[in-house]
Amino acid sequence: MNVNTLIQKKIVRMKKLFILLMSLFLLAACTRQPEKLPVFGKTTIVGNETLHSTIRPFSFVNQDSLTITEKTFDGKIYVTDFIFLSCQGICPVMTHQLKRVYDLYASNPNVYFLSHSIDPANDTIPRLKAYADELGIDHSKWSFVTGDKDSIFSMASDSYFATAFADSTAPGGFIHSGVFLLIDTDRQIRGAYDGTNPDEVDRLMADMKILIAEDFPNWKQ
Amino acid sequence: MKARLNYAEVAPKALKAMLELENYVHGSGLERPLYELVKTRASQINGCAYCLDMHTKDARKGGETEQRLYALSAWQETPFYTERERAALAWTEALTLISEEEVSDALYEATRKQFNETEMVALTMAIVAINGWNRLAISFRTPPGSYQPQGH
Repeated sequence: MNVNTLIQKKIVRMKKLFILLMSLFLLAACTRQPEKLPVFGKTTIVGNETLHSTIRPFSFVNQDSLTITEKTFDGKIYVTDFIFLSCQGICPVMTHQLKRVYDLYASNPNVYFLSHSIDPANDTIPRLKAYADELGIDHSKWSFVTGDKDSIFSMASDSYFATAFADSTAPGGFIHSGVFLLIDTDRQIRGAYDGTNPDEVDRLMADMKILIAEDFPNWKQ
Repeated sequence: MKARLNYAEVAPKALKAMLELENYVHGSGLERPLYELVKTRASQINGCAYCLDMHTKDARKGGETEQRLYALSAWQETPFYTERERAALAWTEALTLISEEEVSDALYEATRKQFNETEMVALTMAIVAINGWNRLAISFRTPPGSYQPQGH
């Protein structure tokens, strides 16, 4: 047996090993855990557990004068944003886009929608109600909330990743980010999307499917 | 329930004078929903049935919610009203109950934070007007229930 034959045999063996390894890898890939969304925010490690930052407790009032708190969303996932009714810029686009998401998940009782007004001085309850009525949405599924302006702003900037702040030079007196946030049943942020971009909103809808599979494994999608 | 007299027929000029004041308030730029809350709250305090019937109908026609009308007499205890509405309601109560307590500097300053000088006059005239209507309807016993809201 010459050297060449030996090398050829070695190559064949290596090829076999490579095919075996690839097969194992593919098998593992097929049986791996379902895709998971990232968890946003700070993490702290306590003992063996990794804790993620969660949305802090809050209390606002919705278009039906109902108090909406973090407990309203117990056992639910929700999409949230920050808007104001007199906004001439991105808000109508955002609402149109969020309505698209709402329409897709309207029949899923595990999904909720929460739009905060960042102009509580003008967005009175009757105005929010008229707005919700005009959209033709189920009020028990999509809340338009108002409350103390400072509380809403600090909720936006400190707890949600969206930024909402008064800027008198911007049209309508406010500037804001246009972000939609996806919150899971543990009150963790699992996604942030540009609410003015239909492609990004498509991504949100796809991510919601993944999150629903994770949080509600028995729900048939 | 029967009216004691029909002041509009007895003295049309008196009614016209009151309506002039009302026209001023309407044209003052004061938000209509806020004015309806003020009118309803003053009418509650004065116990004017005709006025309550009228202004709750007008308020609802203008898009006011049931919950905010039900809770109006306890507005201080609810989160349903904006800072500006709360200031207007506090001013309404103080001016309607003016014989019971002074209108304090603190209240004036607090109200001024939400209303500029022109708006302060408009708001105050609105409260004067509704208190006038309340006193006319109560004294001459205008029967409630018949009012049909006009277009907003």
